[in-house]
Amino acid sequence: MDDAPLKRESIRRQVLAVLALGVVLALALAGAIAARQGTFARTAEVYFLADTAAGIAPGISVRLSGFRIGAVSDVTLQNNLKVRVVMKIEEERFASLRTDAHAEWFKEQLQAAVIELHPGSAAAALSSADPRVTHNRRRTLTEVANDLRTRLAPILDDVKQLSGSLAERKGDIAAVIGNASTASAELAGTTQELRALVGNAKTRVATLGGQAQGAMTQVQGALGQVQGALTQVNQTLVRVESLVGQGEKTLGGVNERLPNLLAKTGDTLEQLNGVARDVRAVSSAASASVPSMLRSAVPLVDDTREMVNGVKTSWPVRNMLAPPASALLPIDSHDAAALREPAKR
Amino acid sequence: MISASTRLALGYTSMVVHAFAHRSLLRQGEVRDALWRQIHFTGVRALPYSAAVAALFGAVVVTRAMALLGDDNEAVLKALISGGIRELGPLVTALIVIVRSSVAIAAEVALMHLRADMSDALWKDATHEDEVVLPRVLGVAVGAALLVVCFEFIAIAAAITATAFSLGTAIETELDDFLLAADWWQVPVSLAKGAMFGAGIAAISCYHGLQVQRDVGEVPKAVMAACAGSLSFVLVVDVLALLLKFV
Repeated sequence: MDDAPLKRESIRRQVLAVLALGVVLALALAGAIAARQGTFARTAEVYFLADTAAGIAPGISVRLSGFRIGAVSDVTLQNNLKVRVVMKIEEERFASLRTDAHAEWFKEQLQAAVIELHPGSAAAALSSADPRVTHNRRRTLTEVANDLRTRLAPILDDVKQLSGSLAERKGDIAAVIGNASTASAELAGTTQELRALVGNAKTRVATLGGQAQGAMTQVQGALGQVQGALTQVNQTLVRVESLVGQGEKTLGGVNERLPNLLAKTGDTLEQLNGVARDVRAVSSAASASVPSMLRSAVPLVDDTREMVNGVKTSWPVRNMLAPPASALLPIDSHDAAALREPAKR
Repeated sequence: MISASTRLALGYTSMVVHAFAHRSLLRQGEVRDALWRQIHFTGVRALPYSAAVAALFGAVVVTRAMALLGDDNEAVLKALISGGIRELGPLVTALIVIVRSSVAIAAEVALMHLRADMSDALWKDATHEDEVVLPRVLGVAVGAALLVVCFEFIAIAAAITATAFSLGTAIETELDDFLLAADWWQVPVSLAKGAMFGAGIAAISCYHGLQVQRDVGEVPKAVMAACAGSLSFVLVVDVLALLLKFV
C-alpha cells in the first residue's frame, strides 16, 4: 500500500494550518498595535508654531494628562522661519481643548521627547478652523545643570577661598578642636557626676519620702493624740469652767469677807507697831547697862579661875584628880573651837 | 576575490530570477508537492526550536536590557522593540534557517545532481533545474516568514511576561507600553525581510548544490559554501537595510 498520498496530504494540512496561524498572528500583532495607536480612530489636527524644530520630529508622542492621545504628524519650516508642528490627536480629546490650550515640549535625559497638551480653562472651545495652541519648551536636564553651574560656580569659589583661609588657620582650628575635645571630656565627666548626683538625689528623695511617710504616720498619731488631748482639754476646760464658777463664787465670798479681814489686819499691824516700839525702848535701855556688866565680869572670871586652880593643887583633891594632860598647841591661836575643846591625847 | 564575489552574486541572482521566471511550474503537482514539503521542513518542523529560542530571547535579552537601561525609558523601549521585531527577529530566524535548511538543501541538491550524473538525460533539460530550485526558494521564503512571525509573537509575549514578573508590574501595563511603543508597519516589514532572507538562503544553497560535479567529495564543500554564502548574504542584506534605514 502506497502511503505517499496520505503523507502528502498530512504535510499539506499541517502547512496550511501553520500558515493560517502565522497569518492570524501577524494580523493580530499589527492590528493590535495600529488599534492602540489610534490608526483606526478618528483624529483631529492641532498645531503650534515653534521657534525651532530641535527635538521635534514626526512620530513623537502627544499626551494629555500623561496619556498618549496622538503623535506629531508633520513638521514644516515656514517663510517667517517659524516651525509649524502639526499633531494628530484623538477627535474626542479635541473637544476638551480650550482657546488657551497649551503644548509643552519636554525631554528627560534618555527618554524620548514628549509633547504634553494642557487643555486650558477658557470658556470657549478651541476653533476647529484654526486649531492653534500656544507652545513652550520645558528646560531639559542639561539646561538646568548649566543654570545650576552658573549659579554655583561663584559659591564654590567662595567656598574654596574659605577653605584656603581655614587651611591657613589650621593651627587655631586644631587648638579649638583640642579645647572642644577637652570640653567634651569635661562635659562627659560632668554628665557622669550629674548622673551620680541625680542618682543620689533619687535615693535621698526616696529616703525622704519614706521618712515623710513615717512622719506623716507619726503626725497622724500625734494628731490623734492631739485630738485626745483636745478632748481632755475640752474636758479640763469644762472643769476649769466649773472651777471658775466656783472661784467666782469664792471670790464673791472673799469680796464679801475681805473688808472685814483688811480691817482686822490693820488693827493687828497697829498692835505690831506698838510691840516694835516697846522692843526698841528695851533694847536702847539694855545697850546702856550691858557693856558695864560685861566689863565687871572679866575680873570675876579671873578670880574664879585662881580659886579653882588652888583647890586642884591642894591635898587631897590633888590626888583625886588625874594629872592634866599636856595639851597640844592649837594650830591657830584664834581658833575658838580649839579653845573650847582641848586636843585629844 | 572581487571577481569571485561578483560571480557568486550573479549566480545567486540568476538562480532566483530564473526560478521565479518559471513560476508557472507550480501548476505541476510534483513541484507543488516539493513546495509543501519545503515549507513543512523549513517552517513547521523548525517551529518548536524557533519558539524555544524566541522565548529565551524575549525573556532574557529584553528583560536584562530594560533592567540595565531603565524600564520607564520610552526611547529604550522603542529601540528594543524595533530591534527585536525588525532586526533581531528576522536575523535569528535566518540563522535558524541556515543551520537547518541551507545545509540540507545544499546537500540534497548536490546528491541529486550526483545521482543524475548517472542518468544525464534527467538533467539535460533546464526546466528540471527550475523544478528543483523553484519550490525550495519559494518554500524557504514562506517558511522563513512563518518562522519570523511566530518568533516575534513568542518573543514579545515572553518579554512582556518576564518584564511584568521581574518588575512587579501588570501584564496589561506592559502590553500597553509595547503597543504604544511599536509601529504596526514593522510587522509586515519584518515578514518581508524574513521572506527575503529565506529566498536568498535557498537560492544560494541550490546554487552551491548544483555546482557539484561528479565527485562526492565536492558535497561537503558545497554545503560549507552554502552556509558561508547564506550567512554572508544575510549579514550584507541586514547592513544594507540598516544603511538605507530600511524604508
